[in-house]
Formats: sequence, structure tokens, C-alpha cells
Amino acid sequence: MKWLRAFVAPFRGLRLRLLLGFAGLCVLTAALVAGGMYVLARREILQQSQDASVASLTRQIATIYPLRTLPPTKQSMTDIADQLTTRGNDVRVEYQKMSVGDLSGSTITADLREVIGNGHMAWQRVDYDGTPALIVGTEIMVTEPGQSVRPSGVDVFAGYQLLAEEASISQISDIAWGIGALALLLAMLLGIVVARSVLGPVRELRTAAVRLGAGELSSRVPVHGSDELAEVARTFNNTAQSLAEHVAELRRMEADARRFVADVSHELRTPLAAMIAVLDVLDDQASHLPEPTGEAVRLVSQGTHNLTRLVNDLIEVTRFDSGTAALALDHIDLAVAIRATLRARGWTDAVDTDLPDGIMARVDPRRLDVIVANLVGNALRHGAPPVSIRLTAEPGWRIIEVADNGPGLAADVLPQVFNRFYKADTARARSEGSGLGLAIAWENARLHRTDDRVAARAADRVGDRAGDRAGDRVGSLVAANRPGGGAVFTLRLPTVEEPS
Amino acid sequence: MSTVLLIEDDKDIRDGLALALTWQGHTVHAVESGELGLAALAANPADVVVLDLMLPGIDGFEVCRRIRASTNLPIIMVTARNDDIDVVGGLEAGADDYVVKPVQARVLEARIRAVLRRTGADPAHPTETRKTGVERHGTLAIDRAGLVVSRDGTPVGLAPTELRLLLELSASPGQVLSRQQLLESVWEQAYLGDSRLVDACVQRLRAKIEDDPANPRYVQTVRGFGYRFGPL
Amino acid sequence: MIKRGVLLGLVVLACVGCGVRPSGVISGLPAPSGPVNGATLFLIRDDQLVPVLRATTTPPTMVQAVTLLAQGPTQDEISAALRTQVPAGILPVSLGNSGHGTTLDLAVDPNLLSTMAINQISCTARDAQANQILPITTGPEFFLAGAGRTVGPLRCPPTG
Repeated sequence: MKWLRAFVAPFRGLRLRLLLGFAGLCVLTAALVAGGMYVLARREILQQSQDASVASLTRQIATIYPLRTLPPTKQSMTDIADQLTTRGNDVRVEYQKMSVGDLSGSTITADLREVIGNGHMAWQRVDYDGTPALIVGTEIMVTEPGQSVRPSGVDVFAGYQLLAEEASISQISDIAWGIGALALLLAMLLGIVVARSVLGPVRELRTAAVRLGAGELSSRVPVHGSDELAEVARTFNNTAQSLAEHVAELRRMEADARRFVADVSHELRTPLAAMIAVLDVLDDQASHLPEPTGEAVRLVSQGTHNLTRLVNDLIEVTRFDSGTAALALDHIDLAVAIRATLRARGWTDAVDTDLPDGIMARVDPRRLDVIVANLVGNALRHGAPPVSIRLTAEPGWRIIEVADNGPGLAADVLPQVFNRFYKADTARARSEGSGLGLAIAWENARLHRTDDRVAARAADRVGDRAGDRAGDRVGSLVAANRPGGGAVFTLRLPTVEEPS
Repeated sequence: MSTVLLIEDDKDIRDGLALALTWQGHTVHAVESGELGLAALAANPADVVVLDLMLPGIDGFEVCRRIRASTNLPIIMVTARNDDIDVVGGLEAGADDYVVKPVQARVLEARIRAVLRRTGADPAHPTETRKTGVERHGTLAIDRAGLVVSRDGTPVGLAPTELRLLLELSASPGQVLSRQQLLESVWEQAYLGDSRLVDACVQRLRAKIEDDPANPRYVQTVRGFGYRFGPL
Repeated sequence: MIKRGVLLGLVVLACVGCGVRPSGVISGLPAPSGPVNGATLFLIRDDQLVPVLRATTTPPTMVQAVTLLAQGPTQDEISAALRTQVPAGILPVSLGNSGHGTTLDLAVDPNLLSTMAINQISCTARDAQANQILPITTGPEFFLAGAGRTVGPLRCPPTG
């Protein structure tokens, strides 16, 4: 059955319908015409042959008159039989129970006898030993001298073979079948040709539509002629053009929006730079100031710190969005790096570590620091001790898990935790973070990927998020709840081959 | 007490940094353009230059090159972003280190102190016990006490960071030092610093001491691990 | 699609009944008929009058026909279950002249004959009458006479 399906498969759909339509119509027409003509021809042939046989018999019967003895003797019956026999027939002469002749009595049906008993000549086609035969029968009448016509009691039957007629008829039938088959073949060929002329443009259209759907906004369909297909093609082209223009417009708008955010963030840096520069002085002096000035200074300082962090995070994010985020890779020992991160922020004693030495990886150390600091900071701030960080290695991957024993992540929080500006606990009056920490960590993780552009700018990553090429291994950051309570964030970084 | 030449065109940032650095104990000369900066340098020698790359007139890269061409002053550049063009360009032009705007005073202070230590000019941190004697490696002669490096008898003008890097590497000849280790020992940065600093400095160092910088004898790259002095 | 297939099938099926097939009885012309050449005698079978043809050289006269009748059936006729009730004693017969139409004179009184015999004679005579030209004095009716007695007019009843 599979081969049958494979054979039929290219004929599914429109082509099959066209073919069947043509074939059906043709076969129907051919059948009707050929069939009709066959039936007529057969009738004509048989009728002619029957008429000829009856006429012949009638002529022969005329020669047996005048009758000489009745009831007939066996001899006279034999004479009659001989008189009536020609080359093409077998004859049977019957009188009462006597019968003479080559024709077998079994060929004569009761119906035939009944009809000739009414004083008519009658004939019937029968099956005579497997071959078709015509049986003609009649009573022999005598005309009295007084002009009255009386049956003599003698019945005469003649059987004629219809083999020749059958041969002619079957020849006609063969021709009819042959014509039908030929017509069917021609119809199918015609159907295929027509289908191709229709399906060709349809296939072109489909190909163009698939390409359009895949993002090739320049795909167009050639327009041939001026029929409905050409109309469809023209409509498609117009639609594609309009779509391309809209998409270009949207891209422009998106690029403008991104640029605006980048510009704004960038512009914010300049005033902030001046403020930040003197913050240390302020912080140091705040304790020497009388209240409320001191408190005011502390507030300004804190606000400036927060604002700076926010602006820096925003700028990081715009770099990811614009594809200008670059990796500065270095081959480092991950355990040493993580310990340095903890040490730099004074977390060494606050975190349980499981960091086996010697696990090397080619990563961007600054970005790794950002990720680890964010995860551990979140764990310490929003989770509960003990906070742990664990480093493991798998073939092709390096895995860092940061876990805490806090309340964990609520079910509605979990899918959104990496969204920008998403803060799980909205009840917190003031959040220390900018709301971008996890989003940046996530982007930093994803920036580490194993394709041959890993060390270069991933400038064409715009819009590429959903379409990672198959075969790329991409770094990932996922959040989950531990079975025993608390949240666990798992960072997976792919190992990158050393360039030779 | 060290003298800082601050070249920054934005008034607020300039005032802010000048204030903070002064508060830290430095003497600060703040100018608003590259031309003024070069002129100030000619008139009053400074111990360290803090240079903003985005300057009107002569841009920061050019100023850096000119300063580096005539002196061995440590230069810390201030960039608006830390992506390739600015940082790499600045390092190639001869900067010893960089900070990213907006920069906290204490971060800048730490970098200034670190770079001054490399020159031995920081009074807050006297230099370590000087080794006496001149080491000879191939055509190089390294005087650790006098902080002079000669090649074929001719002294080579090395920027402080370049000198410090060479001293660090040659102190353990044949031993591979990773970039991170070098960042920590030479640049005194937290472990996770920018390894491009190391790469750029190595390039500049090779250009000055190697016979064939493309095939270095002294400062060799060990792929995937770091750098190594020799073996010759 | 389905309808088309069924239609196709029917058409094909109609064609399957090909070739020459037995038919019903077709009738046409009336049965052929022709003259007889001989003497028609009326014998009896199963109490029915049955005309029988005897070969003669010339068409017989009435007298010749009745004479043949009176001579009785032949062997063949007897084997065909044909009988007669006409005795040979009526011979000789001759064409009479009684003034009553056509009269056949018998050697015996016709009243002595059975009804069937009389029918046999009258039918036979009637048939043979057509073969000869009778005198003008004879009329259309038929009588049998003998021994001074006359029976008639006689008709030939329809034969079975």
C-alpha cells in the first residue's frame, strides 16, 4: 500500500480532480457514444441476419409445394427436410410425434412452439452447444382447392449459426473498447497538460508565499497573461510590496525607539557623571553634617547611586537590543573567578560554596561577574540563608547553581522573573535594584554561544531571538523552585572551542 | 601628594572630579581641551594624566598619542562606553588603564594609585625592596632598581605599565601568567577585569623590545593560558 | 466524484452484456402455405375428421375421391391412428342426377351410413368438387342418394 500511496501522492488535490474530471467526462462520453453505436450495430446485424434466414427458409419452403401425401410418410418428411436444408442450416421436420432432421429438438423452446401454433412464422435466438444460433419455425399450411387454408400438421424448424454475426459484433465491441481506452488516455494526457498550465502558476504562487512567510519580503510572482491567475499573482505582488513597506516602516520605528532610549540613557550619563564624582565626598562628609542636612545628603547620595545604577543598566540593555554587546572572552578558572566575585562584594562568608578547582571555561569575565553578583545578591536579599553556589561541569557545558532557602518563587512569578523591570514583590516600598538585574543576567548568559561569531560582534542578532540556528549551543539562565523549598537559579554556559 | 592633569570638556564632570580628587589629596590641574592639556603639561609637569576621550578639537586618542610620544607619564583614559572602539583605540594610543563614565571618585582614585605605584612615584606606597643588579635576557638588560630597560645597550622608553608588565613577567621567566593574574598584579584590578588591557599593553611592549614583534622572543603568548617571558 | 464513479460503472456494466444473447420469440410473417396435389380424403382420428392427402397423378374428381375414400385407409394411415367409417359397400358411386343440386349416387341407402361416415363422404366430395367442372344442372347443395333414398342437403362440418 505504501507504494500505491507514493504513486498517488503527486496526484493529490487539484491535479487529481482535474484528471478525474477529464477522464470521467471522456469515459462517459466515449461509453455513451461507443456503447450506443455498438448496441445499434448489434441490433442491425442480428436483424439483417435473421431476416435473411427467414426469407431463405420461406423460399425453401415454397419449393416443397405442392404437398403430395398427408399425413407425411417418413420418406416424404425426409424429402422435405432435404429440400429445406442448405449449407448454412440444420433442419427439423416434425409431424405429430415423428421428427426428421439434424436439428436437435432441445433447441426448440415451448414458447416457440406456442407462437407457431398460432399460424405464424417465428424465430428465436438460442444457445446451441455454447454457440449462438437462430431457430426459425413454422407450420406448413395447405391451401384447399376451396381456398381455405388449413395446417397440414407438419412443423418445420431450421437452425442457423450466428457465429459470424457474433464475430462481427465482438469485433465492433473490441473497437469500441479500444476507442474508449484511447480516449481515456488522451483525456488524461490533456488533463495533465491543463493541470500543469494551471498548477504551474499556483506552485509559483505557493513558493513565493512560503518565501514571503519565511521573511523574504522581496519575493514576488511573475505575472503571465491576464486571466484570474494573473490577477491573483498581481494581487500577491501588491500585498507583498505593501507588507514589505509596512515591515520596513515598523523596523524604522523600532530602530528609532531603540536609538532614542540609547540616546536618552547616554545623555543621562553626563549629568550623572558629575554627581557621581563627588558622591564619595558627600558620603564621607554626611556624618559630620548637622541634621537634617546630613540626612538630606545621605538621601541625595543614595538616590544618585540608584539613578546611576539604573542608567548603567539601561545602557547595558540597549546594547543587547541593538546587537552591539560584545564579548571579551578569556580562558579562566571558574572557581577562582566566582570566589573573586564574592570576595569583591564581601560575601565570602555569607555563601556556602561548592567550587571545584580546575574547571576552565572561555567566558567574558566581567559579564560572568555581573551574572553571579546579581544571582547571589538576589538570593541574599530576597531569599533566605543558607545561600549556596555550586559549580559543576558537563560535557560541553559549565553549570553554576545559586540556591537559597527562602520562600521560593510563586507560580505566577516564575515565568516572568526575567522580564525587564519585573519586580516580584510589589509590596516592597523601595527596591534596591533597578529591576533590570535578572534581565541583564539572562542576556549576558545568552551572549555566550558556540558559533563562529562568538568572539565578534553579534551585530545581526536583531530580531534573531526566536531563531537560534540549529546546532548553536547557547548559554541559558533558568529559575526554578527547589523541591525542598527555596529558589534555585541555574546558569549554563557552553564550552567554547579554543581558536587554533 | 601627586599632581593630576585632568582633561575633560564637560564642566560639571570636570568640576566634580577635580573636587573629589582634591579631596583625596591630589593636586589637580583641570583643563577643558586637548590643546590646553598639552600646553599645561609642557608648563607644569604632572604625575598622572586623566584624559577624557571625547574632546572637542584634538580628540582624546591624538592627545594620548602625543603625550605618550614625548613622556612616560601614566595615562588613565575616561570613556563613555566600554565597547571596542573606544577602549581598544585608547589602549593602542598608549593609555595605561581606563575607567567608564560615570565614574565614582574612589574608583578613579584606586586606578590612579595603582598606576602611580607602577612608576614608583606614589608617596603613599613606597616601592618594594629594590633588587640590585641588572638582569640580562638576550639583548635585553633589565635594571629593576633603576627601573631602566635597555636593548642592545640603548634604553627603551617604556610607559609605567609596560615596564611593570615586563618586570612582572621577567620576574618568573618561563612561567605562564594568565591575563587575570596579570590584571591583578600589574593593574591591581579585581580579578574580573578587562583582559584587553593586558593584550594591548603586551602589543605595545612587544613593539618596543622585540626584534620582530610578530614573532616575539621575550613576551610569548601561550594560547588559552596567558603570557610567558621566554624561554629564549 | 462518487456519483461519477457509479455512472461509469453502470455504463461499463451495460457494455458487459455484449455478444449475441438468446432472445425471446419474435414472430412475423404468417406461416407459408401452398397448394396440395392429390386427393384429400377425410378419415377419422379420435372422433375427429382429419383430412388426409393421397398422392394422385391428376386431381381427382368427386367420384374418384369418394371411391378412394371407400377403399379405406392405407397401412401408413392406419399406423397414424386414422380410421374410417365408410364401408367399401357404397361403391360404385357415380354422379347423380336428381334435380337437387349436386348428388352423389351410392350403391347403398345413405341412411344406413353413420353420421361420421356421411360427414366423411360429404367433406371428401366437397373438396374434390373444386377439381371438376360439374354440369350446369347441379346446384350448390350437396346430396347423397342411394337405393331410392336421398339425404341432404349436407354440409361439411369444420374439421379439427
